[in-house]
Amino acid sequence: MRGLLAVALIATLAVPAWADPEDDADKAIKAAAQLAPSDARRALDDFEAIGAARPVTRWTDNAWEEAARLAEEQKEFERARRDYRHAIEDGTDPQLVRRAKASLERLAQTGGAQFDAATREYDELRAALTAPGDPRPAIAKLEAFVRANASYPRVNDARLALARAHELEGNWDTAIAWVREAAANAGNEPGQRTRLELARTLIHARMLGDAKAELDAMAADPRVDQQARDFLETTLDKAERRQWIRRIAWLVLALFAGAAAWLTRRTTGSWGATARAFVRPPTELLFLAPFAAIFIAVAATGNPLVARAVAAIAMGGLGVAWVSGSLLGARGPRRVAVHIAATCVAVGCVAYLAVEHGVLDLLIETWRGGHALP
Amino acid sequence: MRSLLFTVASLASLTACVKGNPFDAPDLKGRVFDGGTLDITGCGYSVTTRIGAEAPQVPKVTLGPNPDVRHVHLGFVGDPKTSMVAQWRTMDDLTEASVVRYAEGADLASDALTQTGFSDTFSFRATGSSTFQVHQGHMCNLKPGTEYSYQVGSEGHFSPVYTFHTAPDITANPDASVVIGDLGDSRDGYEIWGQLIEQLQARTPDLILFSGDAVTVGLTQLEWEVFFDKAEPLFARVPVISAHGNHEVNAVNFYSQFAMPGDQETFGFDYGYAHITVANDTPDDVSYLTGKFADAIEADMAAHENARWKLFMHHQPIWSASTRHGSSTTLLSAWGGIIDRHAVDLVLNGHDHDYEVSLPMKGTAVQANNTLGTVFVVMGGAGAELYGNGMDYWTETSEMTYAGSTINVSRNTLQLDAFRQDGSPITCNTCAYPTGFKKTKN
Repeated sequence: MRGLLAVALIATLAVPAWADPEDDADKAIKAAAQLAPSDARRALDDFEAIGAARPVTRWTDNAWEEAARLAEEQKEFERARRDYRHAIEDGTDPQLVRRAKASLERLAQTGGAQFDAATREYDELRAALTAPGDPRPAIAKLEAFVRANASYPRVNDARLALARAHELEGNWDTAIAWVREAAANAGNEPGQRTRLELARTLIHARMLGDAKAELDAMAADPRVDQQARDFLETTLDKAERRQWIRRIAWLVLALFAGAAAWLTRRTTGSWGATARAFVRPPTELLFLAPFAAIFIAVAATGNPLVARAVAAIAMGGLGVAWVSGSLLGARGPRRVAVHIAATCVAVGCVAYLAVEHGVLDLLIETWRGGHALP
Repeated sequence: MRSLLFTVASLASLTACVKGNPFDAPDLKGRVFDGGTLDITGCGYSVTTRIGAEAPQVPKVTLGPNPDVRHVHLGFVGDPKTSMVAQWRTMDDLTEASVVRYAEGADLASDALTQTGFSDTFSFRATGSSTFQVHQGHMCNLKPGTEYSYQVGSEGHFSPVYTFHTAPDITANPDASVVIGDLGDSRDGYEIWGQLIEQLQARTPDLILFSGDAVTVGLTQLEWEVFFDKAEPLFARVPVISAHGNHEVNAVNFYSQFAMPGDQETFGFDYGYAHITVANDTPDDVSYLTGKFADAIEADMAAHENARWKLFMHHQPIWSASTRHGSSTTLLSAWGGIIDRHAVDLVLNGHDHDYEVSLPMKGTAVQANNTLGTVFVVMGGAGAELYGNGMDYWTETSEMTYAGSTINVSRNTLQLDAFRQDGSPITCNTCAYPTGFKKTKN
């Protein structure tokens, strides 16, 4: 009997010598980490097994945290919550425990277990919205999601994502409708960001009167982030100034065309002859057109924003040359200095209208800071 | 001819205003803004300021009309395991009293902060005659991987108590993991910037890497004010390291407002299992890209050849498919070889305002897996107006979106998880794994 007891005692003492739980956990966690990129589901099971193994080792909390992260990636939110709670209970590293608590709070922001299915669907739709290719099917699905999940805590984010998607598609009316709906449902949101986003969208859509009304309504509201509102006020001021310049540019172009027609009419004596004088492209157009085509083609190989502006300037320039050339053809060279000045002003207006949307800021920044700045 | 001469003269004077040294004359208070160095007692390092800033000084007791503290943010000049720098400004920019007090432990009461750090203060000016007073409090000889509470200010005008923690010592604690936040390009988009800061805060990072372009023009202080205002809830608790972006234009505002190691342009440091190299890719002298800075990057990486994970942050992407800037062939030829030679795991960039992750690259060729090449991340959507994203042969993930990310660094794993400003994760449906980047090592 004493002999048996002695054997049992030796065996008990010997176990730690050949099976150190720390060493085992060390090996297991390395293996699970290696497995994760190729087989996340099995790695998740392995990390949970390491976390659940007893005694607690220095790797226990790390394993629970890794398991929770993988569970989140697999969209198994309830499992992730459970694993984060384990990480907190078994945690020996205060930093890791702090992180696990914050992750639980973050998961709570999506509305808890009852909204897990909605969160999965939202995340997928959100990814599809910006995936390469035609975004319209994803937009339609996300719109259906918003209609079907009005109580989902992130539904307003979804509305704003839809607004952004429509804005990128150029559907300004729909974009604004979505931001308005989001703003109407924003309640006491900190800083009143959604209302600010509405003002921003209105400015970009060039609905400056509506934008001003929104910003004025927010001026005395203590809930509004006034710093952000002030920035939007500055943006609105700039947009208003540019709107005036744009109107003047269009007016100048209209005057240029009108004056050319009127002067030609004085020479030809009838509106019919005037129309005929403008229908046939003048010689300068035949010289200019190939250059314009080359410019447009070369620009198209670079920055699309700049390419669009170059195309607009080239086409607008051809238009001005057509009018100018036709006028010269009908009347001959008279008051050449005035003619040149008027044509230059018209070209300037075309150039402004071409660059104003998007490229003007780029040009100003480049002028201020050199070619590397933007 | 006269107009040409006038233009040249105007440009020359403008350039002189921006790049020259209009600060060698003292201002009305007798201050000279040509920089200087101060040894930080007890910390084993010194703080150097640039032209445009005063030399750092030991604080006086002078209080201005409103010494309330603002823009508290953390950084480090020394080893982040054992030191931390709290930096702040006051409402009045006239206060010259600076105190930092701290103690080990999280969320302590103000009266429990029994230790006092070494403080310094200096003012800087960029354009016009306005000066901005910067205060720094250096906390040294700290314990690695430990939480500390601190507050800054002056008697009767202290900030709230904030908690930070030091970087872990991986020798003593080999299972330590850290979370690094990565953001870039917030300029003129501070509403989104604020939202991303909140999202990042919810992910409890240990360190923030900012890849540059905090503001539209670095010399204009107004935008810096908003940048730091919005970031204070996070930056007061987590140290931030910023790469110089082209929009910072090497302004004194940039160098004065971040506490960072070395010359603040090109430097490296260890944080957990990561060695992080930071570089300025728009230096005053472009020849530095292939000369001085290339040498410094090479030397830093060579000195940390055995680092478990190597990260490299600079502003302009070597690989980008964005429709705005795209890839920088200049940087590819200047630094691409260094990145390949030292087998950098992850390169963090901004500049293009979108989110992109490259396939593993070596030279100009895509590699079969990320053990064979370097992955390049463009994370330029922290608020600045978005640029069009694109796809090219090196693209793994690409999205035109506002975004931030966390990089989880542990002994076996380096993983990047990106998120949008609404917190939704950015996933890669076509990749072998659902996130933008994951790499493991035995």
